[in-house]
Amino acid sequence: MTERKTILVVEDDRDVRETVTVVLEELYRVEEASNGREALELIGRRGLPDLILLDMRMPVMDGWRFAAELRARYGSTAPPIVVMTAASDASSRAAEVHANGCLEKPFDIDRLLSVVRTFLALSCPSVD
Amino acid sequence: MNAALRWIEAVFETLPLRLLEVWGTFGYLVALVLAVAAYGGFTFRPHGRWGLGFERQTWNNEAVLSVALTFVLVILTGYVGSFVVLVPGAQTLESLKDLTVFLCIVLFGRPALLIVPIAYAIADLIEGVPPQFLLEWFPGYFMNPACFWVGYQLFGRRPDFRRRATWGAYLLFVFIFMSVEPQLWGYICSTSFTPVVAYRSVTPALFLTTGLTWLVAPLAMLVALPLARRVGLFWAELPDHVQERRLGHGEWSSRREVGHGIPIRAVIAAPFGLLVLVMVGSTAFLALRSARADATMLAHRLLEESADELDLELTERQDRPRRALRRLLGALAVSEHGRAFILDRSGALVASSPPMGGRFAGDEPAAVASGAVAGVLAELPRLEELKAPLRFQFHVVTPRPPWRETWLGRATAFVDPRAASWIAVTALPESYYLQGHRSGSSQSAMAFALFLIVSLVVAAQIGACVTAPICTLAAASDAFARDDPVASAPSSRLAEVQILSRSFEAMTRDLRETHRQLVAAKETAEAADRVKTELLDVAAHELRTPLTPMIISVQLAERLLREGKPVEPVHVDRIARQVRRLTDLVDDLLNLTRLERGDGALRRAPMDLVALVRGCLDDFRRSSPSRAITYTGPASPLLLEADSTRVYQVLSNLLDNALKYSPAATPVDVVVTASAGKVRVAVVDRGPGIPVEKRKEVFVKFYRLGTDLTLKEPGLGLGLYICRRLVELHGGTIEIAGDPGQGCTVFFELPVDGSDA
Repeated sequence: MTERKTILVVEDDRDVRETVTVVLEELYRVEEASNGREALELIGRRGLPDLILLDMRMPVMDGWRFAAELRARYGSTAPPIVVMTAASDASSRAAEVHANGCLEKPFDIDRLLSVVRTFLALSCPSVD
Repeated sequence: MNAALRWIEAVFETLPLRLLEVWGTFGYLVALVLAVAAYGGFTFRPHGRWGLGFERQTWNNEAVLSVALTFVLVILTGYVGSFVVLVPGAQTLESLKDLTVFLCIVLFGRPALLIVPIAYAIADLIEGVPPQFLLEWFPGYFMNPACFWVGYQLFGRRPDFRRRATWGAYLLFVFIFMSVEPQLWGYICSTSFTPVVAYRSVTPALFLTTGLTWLVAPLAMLVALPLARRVGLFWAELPDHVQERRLGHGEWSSRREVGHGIPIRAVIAAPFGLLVLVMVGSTAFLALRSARADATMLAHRLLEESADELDLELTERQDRPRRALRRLLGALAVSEHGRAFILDRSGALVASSPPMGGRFAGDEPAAVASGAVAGVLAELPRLEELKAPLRFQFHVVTPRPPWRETWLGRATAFVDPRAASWIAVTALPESYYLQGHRSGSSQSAMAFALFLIVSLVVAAQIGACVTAPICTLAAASDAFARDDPVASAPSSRLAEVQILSRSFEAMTRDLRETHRQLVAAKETAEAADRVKTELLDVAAHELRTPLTPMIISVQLAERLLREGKPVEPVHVDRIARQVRRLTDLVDDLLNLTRLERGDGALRRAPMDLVALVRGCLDDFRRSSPSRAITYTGPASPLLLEADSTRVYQVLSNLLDNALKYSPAATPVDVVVTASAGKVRVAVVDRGPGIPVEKRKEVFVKFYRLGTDLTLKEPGLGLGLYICRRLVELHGGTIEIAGDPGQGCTVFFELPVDGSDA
């Protein structure tokens, strides 16, 4: 049995974060952070996850700064990032932080899982 | 100089008169062609190359100035030159005037060409040339400048005598000039001065004076060219001063641009100058006519008296020798200034008065006698028929100086007692009586020249009075167009210019004001547009965000139901929370729309504030059972005139904020107080508070604490704005108090009687 993949959910809206976590926990190991700084601290403590789901507008440290900081610290070892955003131009937001994909809000369970699966497969093609 | 003139005259003496006449006619014809070309606007050097073309002058300020300067210089040098005698009794220094004409035409071009004939005529009048000569010489006044124009054509573009090419062109010009101009004058004078005098005296004299001119001209040009350049009048270096067109080519060399129209100064000066010229001409003509009439009358009275006296003498003392006759004639009154002769009936001279000693030009004794006889015979070929006294005129031409004098004569027949029938002839030179008129016309010509100069200066000054403010206004207009703040209209004492200045200033003031308003309106519109766009963006974001947990919670609940499991309350709570969030947002938007449209009319009614506050607190305690929400205030009812729904809305909004922005463990207090005519409701929390400098801004539409996106709380930033508008509709106020860091106190005051401000 392979080890479960770890997904980090960075989202300031509690309800969004919790529902996403509930859905993903059935298949993956999920870690939560309510802003960029918390996420970085978490990574510092527990190591890099396999995928990061990132909200853009957050207090304390937003998605842009988090993404920049992550790449600065971990370079090419940084995991893929999928941007979750409610903005009308979601894909351009994703491009701004060189994210690997985007998850346009609102999304449902199927869309969430398919996107997560796709990008986990990209990150570790040998597994799964 | 005398020797030089004698030598030139000797050379011309050797040439046959017939040849000189042919040469003169040739010179006249060539000069005629040149004059037609020069004054007809033709050029033989369009664009500096040989060919036939047209030239067009731009009548700008430089051209007008060139005209005035040429006129002044020609008159001045002509006047100065007339005092320098080259050959006594024959020739003055006309070279100086010719030199000026040469320099002006080569350096200024067409403007000089146009004024030179007029300047020549007036200069000749000043020198004492009788007006009737002027009329006879009229064509020469145009042909002469046309000869100088050849120089303008040949080297006018670069009259720089430091260049070898200029010297070549100059020598060619001198050759053409010398073979045309002196002969041309010989031709013109040959009718009035006899061909011998014209070709053997006038032409050699002109050879001398113009020859002198060509010796000094290159030197003078070396000095004059830099001067003309410095004052900016050298025609070839003025932009768009002269346009050229080759014959057969439709295009002028340069297009006439705006600002190259006729300057106002020229418009004012030209009629002035023309009027003075017409005045000069007509005055000279009329004065001459009346002076001649007077002179003739006086002369004939003297001639008649002398003839009568002679008749008496001869009747009384008959039979006298010739010497006695001669003495008798010399004693007559007419002999003092004129001559008296006795002819026999065949026209032969019997006796004559002694010559009067060369007092007048044209007083050659033999010439006068023969001229008088010829004059009588011309009037009456058969002298035997002479009965009544005969009046006649004759001309005496002298070569040095070349001059023609008109004599007035009277022939009276009387019968000698010895049967010999004689004719007494008395004659007076016209100049005897016209001397005063001639010097007078010279002086008046000088005065006229002065008037002309003064009138040109005055016209230029008048022009400047008008043009200077117009130019300033144009500059101000340009400056205004460039948005230069220093643009100001000219001040002037001319009423019309003042009106123009005032209207310009009013116009610029209005335009500036309108422009300022437009810019402000544009900025406001743009700001409103930005706000609207941002609002749409934020609204979309805020409306989408709650949908995700809602959808997922519903899907999870569905799955549980499908699996026959009970739905966990957490899902239902979450869904309810999102629904509330969405409802709040939609409410905010609806309230905003209503307030903006102005139909947020209040439904005022008497209400109890204490009951309303307590009811609201109860509602909040139910939805947030974990929070401590306290009430401080009167227990008895507080009545006021207000819209209870709106007051509830304001209070719940403030409470919502207080609960949201303060730690969960801290209490929220609601304090109600009543003072004179007012009630106050304060919501006090223990949160971070609001910085003093932001306490006004938070009530502005779409304001959300922290302009930095990262600090933005969810929501549209409308809550406090809507609260403020609702309180203000009631005639109340809303403010924020409390020390920063010590929690936040938001309070609103309402008037009890509902009388809004």
